[in-house]
Amino acid sequence: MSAMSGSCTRRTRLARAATALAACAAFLSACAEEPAPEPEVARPVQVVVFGSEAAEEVLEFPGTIRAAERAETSFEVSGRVIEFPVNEGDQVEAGQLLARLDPQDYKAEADRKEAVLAAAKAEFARQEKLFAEGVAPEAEYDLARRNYDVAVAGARIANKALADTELRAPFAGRVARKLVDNFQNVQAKEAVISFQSDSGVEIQVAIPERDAARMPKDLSLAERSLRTKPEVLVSAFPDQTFPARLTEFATRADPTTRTFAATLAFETPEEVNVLPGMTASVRVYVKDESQVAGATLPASAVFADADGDSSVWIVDPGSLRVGARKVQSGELSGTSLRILAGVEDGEWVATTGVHQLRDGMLVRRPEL
Amino acid sequence: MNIAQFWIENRVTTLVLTFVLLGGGMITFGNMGRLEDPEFTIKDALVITPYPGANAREVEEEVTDEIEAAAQQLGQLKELESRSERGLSTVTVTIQDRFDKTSLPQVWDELRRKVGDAQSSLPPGAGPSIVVDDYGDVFGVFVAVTGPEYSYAQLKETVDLLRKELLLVQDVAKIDTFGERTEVIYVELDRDRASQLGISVPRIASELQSRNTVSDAGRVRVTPEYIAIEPTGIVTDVTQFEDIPISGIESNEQIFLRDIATIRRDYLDPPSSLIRYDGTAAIGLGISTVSGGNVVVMGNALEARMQELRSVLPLGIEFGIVSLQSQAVTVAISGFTNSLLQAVGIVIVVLLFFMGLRSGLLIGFVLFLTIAGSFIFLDPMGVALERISLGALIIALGMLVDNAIVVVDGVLVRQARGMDTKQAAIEVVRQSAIPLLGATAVAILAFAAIGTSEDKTGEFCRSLFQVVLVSLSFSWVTAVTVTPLLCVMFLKPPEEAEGEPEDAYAGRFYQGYMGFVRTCIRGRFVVVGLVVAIFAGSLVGFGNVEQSFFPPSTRAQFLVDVWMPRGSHVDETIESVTIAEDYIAGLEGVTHVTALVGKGGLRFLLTYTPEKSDTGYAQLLVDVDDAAKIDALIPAIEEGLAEKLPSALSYAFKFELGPGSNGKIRAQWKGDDPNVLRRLADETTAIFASDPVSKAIRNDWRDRVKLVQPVIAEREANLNGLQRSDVATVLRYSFDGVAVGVFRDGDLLLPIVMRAPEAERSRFDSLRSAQIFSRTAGTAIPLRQIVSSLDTGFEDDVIIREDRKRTITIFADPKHGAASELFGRLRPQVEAIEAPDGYELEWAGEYEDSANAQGPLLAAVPIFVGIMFVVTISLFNSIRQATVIWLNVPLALVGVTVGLLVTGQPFGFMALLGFLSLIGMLIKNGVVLVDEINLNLGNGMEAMEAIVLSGASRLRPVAMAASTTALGMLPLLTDAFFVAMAVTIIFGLLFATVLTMVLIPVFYAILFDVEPSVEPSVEPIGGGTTP
Repeated sequence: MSAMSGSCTRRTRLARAATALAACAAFLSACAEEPAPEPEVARPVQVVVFGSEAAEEVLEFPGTIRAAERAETSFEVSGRVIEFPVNEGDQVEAGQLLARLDPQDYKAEADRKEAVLAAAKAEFARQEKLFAEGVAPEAEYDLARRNYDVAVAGARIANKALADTELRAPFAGRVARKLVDNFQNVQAKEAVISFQSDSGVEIQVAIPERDAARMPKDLSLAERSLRTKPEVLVSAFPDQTFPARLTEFATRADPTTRTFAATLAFETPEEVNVLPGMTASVRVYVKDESQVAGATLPASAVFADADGDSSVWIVDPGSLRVGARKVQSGELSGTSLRILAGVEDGEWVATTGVHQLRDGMLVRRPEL
Repeated sequence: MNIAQFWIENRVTTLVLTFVLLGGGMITFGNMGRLEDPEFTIKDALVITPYPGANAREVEEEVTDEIEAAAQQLGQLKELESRSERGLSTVTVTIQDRFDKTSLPQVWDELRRKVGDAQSSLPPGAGPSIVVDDYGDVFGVFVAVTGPEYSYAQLKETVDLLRKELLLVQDVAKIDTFGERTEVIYVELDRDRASQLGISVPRIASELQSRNTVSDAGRVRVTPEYIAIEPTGIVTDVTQFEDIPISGIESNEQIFLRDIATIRRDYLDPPSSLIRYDGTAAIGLGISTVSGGNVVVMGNALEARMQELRSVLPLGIEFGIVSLQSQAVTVAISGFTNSLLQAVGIVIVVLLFFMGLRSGLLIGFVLFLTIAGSFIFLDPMGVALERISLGALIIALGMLVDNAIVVVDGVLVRQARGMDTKQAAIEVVRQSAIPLLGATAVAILAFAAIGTSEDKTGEFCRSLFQVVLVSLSFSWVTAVTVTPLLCVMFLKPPEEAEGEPEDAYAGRFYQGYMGFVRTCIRGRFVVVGLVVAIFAGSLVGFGNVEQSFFPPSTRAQFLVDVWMPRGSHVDETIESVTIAEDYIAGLEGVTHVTALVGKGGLRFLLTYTPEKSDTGYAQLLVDVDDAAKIDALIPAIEEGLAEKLPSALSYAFKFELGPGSNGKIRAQWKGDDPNVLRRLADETTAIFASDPVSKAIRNDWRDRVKLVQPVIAEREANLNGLQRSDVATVLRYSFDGVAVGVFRDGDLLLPIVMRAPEAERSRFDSLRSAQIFSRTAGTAIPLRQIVSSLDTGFEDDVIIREDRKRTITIFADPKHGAASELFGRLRPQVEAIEAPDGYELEWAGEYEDSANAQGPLLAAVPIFVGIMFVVTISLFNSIRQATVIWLNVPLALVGVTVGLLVTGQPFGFMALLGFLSLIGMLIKNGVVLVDEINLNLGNGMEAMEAIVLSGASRLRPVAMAASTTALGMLPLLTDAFFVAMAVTIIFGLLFATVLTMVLIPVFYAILFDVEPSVEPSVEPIGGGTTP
């Protein structure tokens, strides 16, 4: 019996213990543990200070280099080329013979005209004497004088034509291209030789309407050069730029392309051999004062908020917390986006991790 | 019942069959398919349609909509998800659960037909749709081929060679590569020269297009032959391109292409995807196994072939192993088998302890036989050796021996009373065969709910039911056939030393027990009250148990995702990944780091879901030498990367075990206006972020991206004979490049791409200085002439829809602890967000997955519980008796709650299965006890005595059954996957058994109005009536 009651008590105790255990466990876990709030971690961000210097835009226009002075020389008269003593690339002096036409016809004509002149001159002298003696009528005297004048002019023309069979260099320079071959028949005024001077090269580019319109009106060419700081990049010398100056600017657009032709002259150092015909482009820097408050921010700083509007994160320098701000953005240029409105000068704008930030987050600038 | 008699008398037959089964079982075990985790079918297919040049909105409306409409016509459709990005539409079609891998191919064919029909309604420019139905294929072998001393071309050659060779290896189905870069011919035009000569991009394009194609020149008859004509002039080498003459507009001189352009053969820039192994550029190679093939066999065959190929491969080519399934499987299976053997060992020890040497060994042998025989039946059913099936065997172990124990115990007791062994065996079987069958059926039915679930979780766990079904049924068969014979052969009756057979129940323990039961019956209502109180307490306690779905894997590898902002250039991502790689590789415990950039890798694990292409996405697979270090590494890496990569969202996570993925908490907002959806998403993100435990918060629409919109001045454009498409071509040429043809080089088809030289391409401002060829002017004019300004705007780059409604999903994970806890805190806050009309919130993620998994389960449970109840009733032909038994079932909760709270395990899906199986075990115990009571009553015993004595006589078998089951599961406590289930069953069973042995008598007494008789000191009658 005692054994029974002993075991009974033991059993009962066990049962009670089990209940107690269950209840305790229930109790303990019922104390809902709210997770302890962790200390706030400051996210590292790069920050840029917004400044309102007008941004510079870089424009490039391709063009071809040509000689500053150039001419396409031609004969004034037609004929057959019999002499072509120069070659492409030859350096010639001013007045040097470049080409010669067959002069025979013109010589014959000149001779004929000379003969006519001689005859007219003799006749005039005779008539003059007769008129002075009062024998010949005045009409005849006038006629003879007229004939003489005409003959003089005719001889001059014929002689000039004869001289024109020789094509001479208009200035010292270089034969660029021969446009006709020796022994070829050429017409008067047909381009025979492309001729250019060695002194300086220039480049002609086509400026689209839009950019031409941005030029303020009454500036002289020199002033425009100063503003835009044009420079020339030659494809053959990719690592060098040559400063240029504006020498011509068309005031009327090309009817087909609607672009304005601009010519810039530039110098090259001795060792750089820039030849006409090489490809090059002109780079200009345009300050955009026409757009309001045209400062830029790195493009990575701008994102779209839930409404689809451009926004940036402004960092408060005191509390180092961020807040979103809507901005009005302009055009992309290089790696920057122009900001038209929304940010004041001197404000701090976050440029990295913009998609991870949230309103009111704590940030820090990593050690620079 | 003549069963036992038959088998005992036909001794030879029985023994031969026994050994055949044993041998056959061991052979089958050697040949059975092996996996680490069971397979479940991924019922998804992708429909991919390119639409170059269209923005996300246009893709959504013009292409995605059509494809979705076509897919919706499928009656087998379960869910439709679509993703519309700039230039690409991806529709994911998910099929209903009831289709498995044999019926799915038919469904995909139907999908193909529907998509094919929809092609005619796609807008012009939209490419043909491709249906990818092998989305769920797993590449069991995933290696990174590196060769630091070799050029990329040589590496590619090696990979191509490997591909060809390895496809022939046994059991290899498919080989895919990852991170291969396509070769391209780049023609870079000098802009200034081209514009000077008046040569335009289209001119050159047409020149290049026709140079390399095959043209048919026909044949000529030269009697008697018909001879083919093939003119020369085909460009066969890249260098020949340079000699192509181009005529300028102004002069009639001919210049060569090389004078105005640089031509070279290079790789597509930027790359679309990239893989690196330990910082070295690599090409990824994935190999998949044929369906039904053996992963381990394939792995061994591959290794053998690789050894042979070593001599052919260039020296210095290395293979970095990202995932080798065969290795993992072998390790896992040996681990599981060890656990199985340990469990068997424990069970046998318990048996020896309780039943003595001979009986213990006898039952042990029967156990082996049962297991071996089960394999023979499991293999043709398609069950492979994997985590679940081997775990199921361990769980079933304890139950497997129950039937044999009952028989052996019965024989022993009768032997002790002097009966002839053979008679005893026959009688025992006759008496207990049917009840045992009923009890076995009940135990099997408890697992049936998981066997019938078609959800992917059900598929995953199906082998649990199959193994239990086969093994338990077979254990009943061996208990009534082989066991009696063995008893007859080996169990000797005890020496008749003592004259009087002892009374088995005279011991103190039994006396104590019987007295206690009597006391409890007398104070029955107090007891009931106590029990109710305990039960209520455990209910409360259960409310505090962590809920989870599946535990994370113990794989010695984990993942780190790095999300750069959407729209980042892939080079930026590559730079960031390099920083991350270097940082992680330097951490202690890290052995290898594989980096995937641009999209998720090949599916090398069934539970790994690769992310879709995104230039800002990168993933690192980090191998460690000890899986235990991962928990410490993850927060360290997250902090470190947050510091080093401030623009990126980085987080780390483990692999999942079982279906499920990271992003456990998912809030989905559905509606129409993207702005409203984004605002709701922002609010949700803010709520998620406010909880200190949450991490990896992101949404799947990602960030809005910038868009450059050149505004075309229509008039100017018209005057020059130009349109939007011309502007687009020029702009394309200026940066990305225009495809102008293809070049055939052997078996490769290289696209020819024309683009501006590097110096121009790399600067945004080249856009302003671009030149376009004006048809009317006959010369090149600045693009700015017809483009008035370059506006910059923002657009949605990704639009995701679910079931045709725009849906934005916000993800979050807990830093530590269970996701369900975090979910519980966040849910009410998110549901409190005011959403405008037409917008609704849905919860996905783990919440949905576990609901989907538990749904079919819990729907099936009542059915099977009903069946079990009916079986119980029919066993005793009495509802009241069945009720007595079933009243014990809720008490299982007590042990479960205590166990889970004490060990700190969460109640996950596996624990739920364990709980269900507990029911079966408890019923079995109850059936055994009530059956005994009925027997005693039938023999004329007085009710109270019948109850008490039955309890005493069944105490040992029930205790043994419970201990074998519970202790047999001890090895599972070390397995991360089964630990919750093991805890549930062990604690639940032990507590419930103790309670059952006390409470069934009490309940029986209450329900049958048993009055305690006047209490004479009951002399246990010498063994007479107790069987």
